[in-house]
Amino acid sequence: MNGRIDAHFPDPESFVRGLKVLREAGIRDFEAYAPATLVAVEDLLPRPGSPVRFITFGGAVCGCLVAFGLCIVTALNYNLVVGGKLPAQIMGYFVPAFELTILFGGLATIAAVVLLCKTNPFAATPPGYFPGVCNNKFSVSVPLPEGAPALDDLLRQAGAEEIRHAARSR
Amino acid sequence: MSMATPLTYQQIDEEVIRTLAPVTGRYRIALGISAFLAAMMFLAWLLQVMYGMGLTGLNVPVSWGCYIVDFVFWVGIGHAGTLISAFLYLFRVPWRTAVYRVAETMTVFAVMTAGLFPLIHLGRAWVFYWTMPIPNRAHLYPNFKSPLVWDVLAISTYLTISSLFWYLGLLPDLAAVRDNSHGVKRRFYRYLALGWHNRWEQWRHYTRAYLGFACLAAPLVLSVHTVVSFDFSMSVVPGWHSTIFPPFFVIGAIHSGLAMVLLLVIPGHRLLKLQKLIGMRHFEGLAQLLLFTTTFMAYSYGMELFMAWYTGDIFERSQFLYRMTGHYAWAFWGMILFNGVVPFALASRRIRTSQRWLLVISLLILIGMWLERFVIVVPSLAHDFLPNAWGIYKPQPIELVITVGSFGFFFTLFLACIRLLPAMAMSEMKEEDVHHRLEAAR
Repeated sequence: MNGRIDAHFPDPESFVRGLKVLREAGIRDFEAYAPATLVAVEDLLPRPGSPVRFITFGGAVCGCLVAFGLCIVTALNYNLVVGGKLPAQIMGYFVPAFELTILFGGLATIAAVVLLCKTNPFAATPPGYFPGVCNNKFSVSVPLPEGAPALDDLLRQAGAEEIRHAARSR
Repeated sequence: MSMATPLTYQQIDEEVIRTLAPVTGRYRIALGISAFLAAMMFLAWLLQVMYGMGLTGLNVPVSWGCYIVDFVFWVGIGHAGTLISAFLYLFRVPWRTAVYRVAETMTVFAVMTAGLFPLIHLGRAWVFYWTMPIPNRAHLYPNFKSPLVWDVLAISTYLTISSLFWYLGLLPDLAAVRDNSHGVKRRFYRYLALGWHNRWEQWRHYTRAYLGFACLAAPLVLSVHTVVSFDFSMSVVPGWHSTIFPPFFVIGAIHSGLAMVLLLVIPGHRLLKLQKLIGMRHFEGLAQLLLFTTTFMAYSYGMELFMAWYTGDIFERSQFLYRMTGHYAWAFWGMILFNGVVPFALASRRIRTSQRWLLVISLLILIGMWLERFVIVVPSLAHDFLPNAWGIYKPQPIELVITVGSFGFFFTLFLACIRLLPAMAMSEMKEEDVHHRLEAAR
């Protein structure tokens, strides 16, 4: 069989049992859907973790450097000594640096979400998705390569209330 | 006394999505009044642009008046929203989830309203771009050592981060609304939801991003109004040059913001019939926070007076004596009464659990906080060092129309938003239950 199997679960408990079935079957590549975040069972899901925090940190560091750079360069552009002090006064630039650290960190985070989550309102509905997952259902969509073991009975025993077979989308 | 009862996930969605139904007569009246006031504000602004700042009461020595008061007031209102959505998220406060969307929406629109006032106060609003560090013929750039420029950066950052944080939290709920809509509405929410489908591939990035935003927004609660306070405390004007200003402003901002949240949520949950989701524990939680901020406000008022006397600085003593007995004494005593005395009634559980009393106290706090900003800005300029430099400021009708109109502007945006976007965080309300059940089932 070469296709896709979509299993719908009515509650978190049966969903976790379904994930354990997939782990025991050695299946690592599948998509999961849920009405709320699944970080609690991250280790049962493919590709746990996320690089977003590093992107946020990188953005924040850039913001800090940009702020100091902006303040110092603009002060030196009109290189006038006022009040006996040098034109570029680092202490006074900590406030703009703080603000731009937060700003660039936030912009980097949202950019990371848009790119990594593949947010595209014009894209087709992903395979295995059905509207119930935004309300109260859980679902897994498992691509089945040639010769893959049948999972229907195992998933039903785990508590799946509906199982659909589909040809695998490209 | 209404009580929120636990609902199924389906019921949560139904209760919230129902609020997006076609509007009622009362909503139309409220929106109509708000829009009218907002229109009057823009008309008054247009008159000011045509005839000049002479229409206002601003002059020497009081060159900062109602517009700066309104600016500080509205920026302050926004802080409670970020406190609830970011701070209370990091501390995992359980009652936060049902009210945080309303609070965050309030923040975004309050900061937008605040952002109008520097432009209005500028007079020649079309030269606002001179504040931007872009190369120009005069080789002049903003002075990045000035608190006024820090303020521009702080408010811009606050508006951007609040808006993005608000929108990120909306994504899963917009997807739920999309799937429960048809026709043009479905297409509208489909574009807003940006292709969100509750996939694990999306949740794993979303969760980290949301936590990252909360970590970024939380320091803003403390820093933004601190920077606004620097507009005053970095000067040497008597009554302004005080180290208590940063915490005083921040706590005052949270104080006014919490009052505004209560003012929005108490009638809002009745009008939208959300009594099953929002109950007395939410109001009591907000009231307890309000009681805490009241104690700090009362302490700040007392400390300012004490330090003015204790320092022996004749100018500081004269300023505070003027505040208590001079031309603006009515504002000073109103501020003390509404901010430092009346809210202590919240120490009584009977008052704290009465929606009517919470509404009355919230309204008085908002009036008191506006008076506080007025007392900070105007008397200090009217009565500084030299008697020959003293003067009186009388707000003119155009300033009062713009002040009242700003409330119309805010409520127009808010009322439009709660009918278009889900007023409560559906996915977050399910998240705690999902998280506990997934952990237990592992």
